[in-house]
Amino acid sequence: MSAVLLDVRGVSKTYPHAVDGQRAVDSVSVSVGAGRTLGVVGESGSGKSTLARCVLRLTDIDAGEVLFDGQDVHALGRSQLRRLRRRMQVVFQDPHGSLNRRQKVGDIVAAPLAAHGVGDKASRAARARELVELVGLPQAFLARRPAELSGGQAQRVAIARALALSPELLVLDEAVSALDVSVQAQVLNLLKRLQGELGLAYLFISHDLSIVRYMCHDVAVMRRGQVVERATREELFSRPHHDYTQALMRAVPVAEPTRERERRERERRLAATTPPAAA
Amino acid sequence: MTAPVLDVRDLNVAVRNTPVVRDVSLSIPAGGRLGLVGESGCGKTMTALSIMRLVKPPVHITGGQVLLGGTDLLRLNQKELDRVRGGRVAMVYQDPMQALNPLHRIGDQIVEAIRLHTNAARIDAHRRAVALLDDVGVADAARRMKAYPHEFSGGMRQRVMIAMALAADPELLLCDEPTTALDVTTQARIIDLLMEISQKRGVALMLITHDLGVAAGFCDDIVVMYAGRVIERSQVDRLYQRPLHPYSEALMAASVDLEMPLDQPIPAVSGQPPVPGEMPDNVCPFHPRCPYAQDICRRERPPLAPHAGALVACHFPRDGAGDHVLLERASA
Repeated sequence: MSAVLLDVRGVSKTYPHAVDGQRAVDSVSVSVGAGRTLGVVGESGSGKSTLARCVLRLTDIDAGEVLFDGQDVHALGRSQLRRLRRRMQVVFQDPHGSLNRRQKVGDIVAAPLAAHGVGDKASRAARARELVELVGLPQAFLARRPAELSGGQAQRVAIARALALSPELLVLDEAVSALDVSVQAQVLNLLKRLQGELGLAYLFISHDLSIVRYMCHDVAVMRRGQVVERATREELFSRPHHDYTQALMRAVPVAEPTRERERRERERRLAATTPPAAA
Repeated sequence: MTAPVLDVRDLNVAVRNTPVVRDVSLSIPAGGRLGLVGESGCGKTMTALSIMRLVKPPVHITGGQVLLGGTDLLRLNQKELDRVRGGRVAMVYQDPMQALNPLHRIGDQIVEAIRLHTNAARIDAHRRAVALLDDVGVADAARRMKAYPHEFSGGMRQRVMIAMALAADPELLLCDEPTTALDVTTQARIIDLLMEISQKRGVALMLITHDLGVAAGFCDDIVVMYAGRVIERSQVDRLYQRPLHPYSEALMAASVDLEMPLDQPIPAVSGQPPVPGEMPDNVCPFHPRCPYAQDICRRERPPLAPHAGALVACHFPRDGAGDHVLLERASA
C-alpha cells in the first residue's frame, strides 16, 4: 500500500443559485495514493468536475478538507498554496482552449517554470525540449503555435506543460474525451507510460467507464454529488454493488455486433419491466 | 433487389478548391440502417450535409448524384428542394439545443414542421404532433406540447427533435452523432427509439458516429471513411469479425471497451489523419500511418474494389486472421 498523497475528506460544495440548494459535491471522501490512479466516473451533473475544482482549490468548499501530503489545501496561505501548486497540476478536456494561441509551444511548456521563477531562460528552454520529447512530440513543434496542432498534439502539449514543474499529482478532467479514438489511444498510452516513468499519481475524471477501467487502480462512482460506490478496479468491475454502478456498466456498448445486439435486447427487456428513470 | 431509398453516387465536395469528400458512393434500402464511421475531419458530416444540400459557400458540391427514390437532389431547384428537405429527408443533429428554437414552445415547432410539408389543418397538425411526441416516448405528450426546449433534459430534447424529423413521414433519416452529447444510460434509449423507427416505419436511416460500439448493435451495413474517401464498405458482422482495411482494423483495435487487456498498451497506430489537401491524390491516404505500407502504396491510390464479400480500398487487404503485427509495431 502506497502512502496517501491526496486525501479528500467529507468535502461538500453548493454553488450559489443552485436549484433547491442542491449540493454539487455532497460529503465526498476519496483518496489517491502516491503513484496510483483514482478514477472518478459519473454522468453529466454528477459533480465529478466540481470535485476536481475543489481539489485544485479553483473553487471554495463549504465543508470538509482536502489534504495534499498532509497539508490542508483550503487552509493554506498564498505563498504556501503557490508552492503546493507545483506539486499538483491539471489537464482539462479542451486542449486548444487551454493553450495560449499567441505563444509558441516552447514558451507554453516553459510557462509554469517562468511563473514559478525556476531556472534561467536557457535552462527553461532546455527543460521545454526535454518535456516535448517526453510526451512524444518532435523538437520542431517547439516553434509551432497551437493553431498548427491537431487535438492530440495540443493535448500532448498541455500534458508537457502540466509536467514542467515535476508534480506528484495530475488532475485529468475528461482529458481524452475530446480526442478521436486513434489519438485517444495514443494519449492514454502516453499517460500510462509517464506514470510508470515518473511515479505520478492521477486523479482521472471521466464519463467513460471503459477508459476508467483501463486507466485506474481505484474507482469512485459519483451520482448527484455523492460517491455511491468506491472500490478497487478488480472489485468494482467483477462485483459492482450499487444499482447505479450496475446500470452504468450494462449501458456500455460492446464493439462486437452479436454481443452488442444481445446486450441491447437484455437492456430493452429490463427497461420494459422497470419504471423509466427521469431521463 | 428493390431500388434503394438513397443512392449516392460519386459524391464530391470541396471547401474552396480543397476536396473534402471524394467519390463517395453509398446506398440504403427502405428500413436499412447504414453506419458512417470515421474520425473527425474524415468527411462523414460533410457527406450528410451534402446529401441534404445544406452546405454553404465556401463549401461546394463539385460532382456526383444524390438519388432519393430516383430523384437527383443535386438537380432540384430551391422550391423543389424545400419540399424534400424536412419532407422526404430529415436530419437529427448532435446538439438538439441548436436545432430547436429556444423561444418557441416545442409543440408549436412540431406543428410548424408538419404544416410546412402537409396541408393539414392546424387542429389536425396539433393532434398529429401529440401523437408523434407520444411515439418518441415523451410522457404526458399533450401537456408537454406547451413546454419550452430548456424545460427538457438532453435526452428528452433529442426525442423532441426526432419527433420533428418524423413530422412529414420521411423516407430517409440522417442522424449525425445523435447520442454523442448524451449520458450513456440515456444514449441507449435514444438508439432504441431510432431502431424502432427504422423497423416500424421502414425509414432508411443513416447513423453517423465515431462510436464503434453503438454502430455494432444498430447498423446492418457500415461505411468507413478516411481522409474524405470511403475506404471500406461492408456488412456489419463481417466488418467487425475481420476488418479488411488496415485503418478499420486500427480503429477497432484502438477502441477501448470493458474487455481491453490491462497490462499492455492500447494498440494504437501512430500519427493522425492527413489535413485535407495535404495528401497527394496518387497515394493511399493511410500509407504514412500504415504498418503494412509498401512501395506501391506510396505510388498508387488503391481503388475501392470488391474483396471477400466487401468493398475495400487497399493494396493489401487484411485477410490473414490472427495477424497482429500492427499491434506489436504500434505500441506507444
